[in-house]
Amino acid sequence: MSPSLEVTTDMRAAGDSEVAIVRVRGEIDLATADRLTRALAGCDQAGRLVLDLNEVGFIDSSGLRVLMMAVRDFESRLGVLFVSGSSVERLFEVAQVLDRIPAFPTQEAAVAALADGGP
Amino acid sequence: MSAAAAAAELALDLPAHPSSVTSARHAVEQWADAFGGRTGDIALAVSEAVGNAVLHAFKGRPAGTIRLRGRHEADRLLVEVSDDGIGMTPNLDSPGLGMGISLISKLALDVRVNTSERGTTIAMAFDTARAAAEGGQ
Repeated sequence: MSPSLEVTTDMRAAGDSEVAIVRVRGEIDLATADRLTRALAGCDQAGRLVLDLNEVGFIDSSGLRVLMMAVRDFESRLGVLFVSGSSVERLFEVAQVLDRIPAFPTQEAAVAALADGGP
Repeated sequence: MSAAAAAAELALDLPAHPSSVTSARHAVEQWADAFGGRTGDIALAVSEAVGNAVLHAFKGRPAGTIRLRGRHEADRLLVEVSDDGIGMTPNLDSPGLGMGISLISKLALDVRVNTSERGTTIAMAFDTARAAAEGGQ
């Protein structure tokens, strides 16, 4: 069965640096997590990163490891979007990392907050 | 599909390849959905168990087979993921090892791990929807 994951990156000017908007659609597991890793590696020159997981239908610890690396690398320059009650939120709860995820309701809210210096 | 019409047992053998994580998860989701319960939790637990087998069970030897089995007993869904690999061994080069088992232990009612040089079996038990409702969950 071929796993399905689409990762698209948009770079936007915001203030005096760029914000990378990474939108993920599909399922993140061992078969697909490398695609997210590669996409985020391509954002290493961006001043800030917004990771939109609103259309992620499934994520396991393979994806969580990638996300936690982004949390470590971007610190307060990272914003994450996910749907309340989704499998993404469920994983964050079970893994007990919900309080370490800089969550925002919309891309616009994340970009605005990060442009002001962080969440 | 009603539980009565659902396939009572799930049996799937897969190669130890990353794409098998996806295949196993989709299969158990479809099977477990007929019985209700926390299908998402079962899918996550199976994804972790199969992922662990793919990553760790066949180090230093040709990739073998991962077996996924499921059966419905009373108010429980019993799911097993087993491999014919090298068994669980400490591996300092794999910092992620252990996260999967930790997550599974929080998702399932009961988890049993049997590992030896002939392979590893992770047996997990989950509530069906009816059992969860009667338990006030």
